[in-house]
Amino acid sequence: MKKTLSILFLGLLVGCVAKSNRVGVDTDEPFSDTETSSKDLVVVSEEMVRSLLQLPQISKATKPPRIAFSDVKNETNEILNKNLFIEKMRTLLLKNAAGKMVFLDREISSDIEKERAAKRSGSVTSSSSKTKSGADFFLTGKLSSIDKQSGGKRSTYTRYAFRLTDAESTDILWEDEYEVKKVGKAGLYDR
Amino acid sequence: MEKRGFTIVKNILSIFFLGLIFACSTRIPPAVIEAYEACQYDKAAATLKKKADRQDKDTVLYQLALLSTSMRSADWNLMEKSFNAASQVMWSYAGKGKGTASLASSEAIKIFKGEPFEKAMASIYGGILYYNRGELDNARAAFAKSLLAMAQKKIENRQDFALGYFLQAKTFLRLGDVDNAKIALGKAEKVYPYGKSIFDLDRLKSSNVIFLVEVGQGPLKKRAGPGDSLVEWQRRSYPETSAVIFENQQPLLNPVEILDLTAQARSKGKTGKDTVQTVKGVTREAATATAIIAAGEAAKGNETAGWVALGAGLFAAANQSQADVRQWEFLPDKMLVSAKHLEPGQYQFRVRYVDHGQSDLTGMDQMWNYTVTNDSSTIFLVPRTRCKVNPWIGGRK
Repeated sequence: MKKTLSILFLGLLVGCVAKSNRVGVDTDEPFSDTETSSKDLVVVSEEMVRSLLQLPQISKATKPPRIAFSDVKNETNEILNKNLFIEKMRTLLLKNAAGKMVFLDREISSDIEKERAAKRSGSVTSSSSKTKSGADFFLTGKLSSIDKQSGGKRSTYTRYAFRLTDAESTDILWEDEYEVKKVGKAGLYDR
Repeated sequence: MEKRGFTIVKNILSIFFLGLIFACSTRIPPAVIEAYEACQYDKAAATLKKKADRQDKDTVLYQLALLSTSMRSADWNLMEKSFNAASQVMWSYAGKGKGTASLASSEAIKIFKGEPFEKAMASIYGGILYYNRGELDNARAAFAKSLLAMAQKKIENRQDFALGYFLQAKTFLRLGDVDNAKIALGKAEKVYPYGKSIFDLDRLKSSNVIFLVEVGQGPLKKRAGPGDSLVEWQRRSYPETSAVIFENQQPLLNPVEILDLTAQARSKGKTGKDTVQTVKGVTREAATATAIIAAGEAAKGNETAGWVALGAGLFAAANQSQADVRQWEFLPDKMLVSAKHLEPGQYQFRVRYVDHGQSDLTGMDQMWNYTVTNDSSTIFLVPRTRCKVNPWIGGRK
């Protein structure tokens, strides 16, 4: 009896050992829910970048267009970093299509303002002065979802849509989307 | 032979004892509850953080307690962190192995993810934090999540979470989505038909301060049914029944009820898990009775009865039917609401609790200063406590 109990205890202890594994960013978590995952981020960003690079205003531009971000609208039912997608897209574009477009960093514009003021006042050195660039296009997007829950069953349809808008005329030059629907079912024990 | 029977009974009792250890549902340590009630929030948070960091089956339990503690101590970063950490597990399908095992063994071995109303309340608190920080997309998402959580309940009670609809409506209005705001308010009004003025669209649209006043202590999760296999929610007793909001010593508002968590807890309905638990409870009671009777026979020298006692005892020990009674300890029982438009300027608010006889409950007042600006829109969450706390969630410390 003692032996049996010892084995039982040992078995329980082994089951309690913590562990962690490194997995690819484009894999869904084994415990995943129906919400946006890193896989969605990777797949959506890559698809959007491929589509955007086919746009003649970019691929055939004689002078690289200047692109600024406008906040992505999150209309899904999940709390997420809504600008993660366009930031990932920017990284991919700069890595794979450098020189075909220029991105404007508006995120640190207050720091830039301070630096410019310091340079102009002579408190720090300055090699040259430049006029701040204006945007030719705005890159933005909208994330929307339809969620259904009934008892232990849940489904989430999510649409990730992105567009490039002319900063002068407001014309939408490009728009593409990615849709995904995920369904999940809670175990009997979780109801 | 008598000695042999005694040995069998002793072994059965040992296994029972072992089983009881495994069946225990984790509770927030009494020292943490004491510290929380004594306004020593940092002390409570320190213990809770350590326990939450273990990332075990009780992580959500500690993260939810940490959410409450950080909300009281105005540690907004910690509040957001614990909200996100708890939500991540609560909304996932994590823990299938432990969950399946819990159906055959003790329910408390599964990963705690909270009841629908606990999930909903986490989203409400998170949503208020985002709302007050001006992150309206995230606030809207959080309030929507509180309503999704309720869709886990039985079908006729899925649209009874008036607080979620009300806060969602206000957020829709701030986002310019009047149509959806109207629908959400209509649903809230169905639950509380007397709250007509509170659910008036134009009034809510023009309001720039919302007061949510917590009343009482949340329902107590207790074991019930055969073999303690089921859960029942008991309303705790508390003296306050309502509250009055004062502005610069003058009565300003009489908030009305918009949430009853005991009712929410009780309206979940029966699930497949309850059926399994009931079967476990009934068979456990039968096995226990068999083991006791057979052990008695074994003591009289019946060897077969000894084996029956052992088998039945082992079955009863392995079949831990006791329901999981882990719960979010620091929730209120009810919540009252009031909304108003205030002109820009300096205000001093005070919330006074009153009992059944409309007498003041001294020592529970909350008082704070606030400056209304042209573009401000704030949700105050007034906790039921004798400690001095900041009701402006996400605001200045």
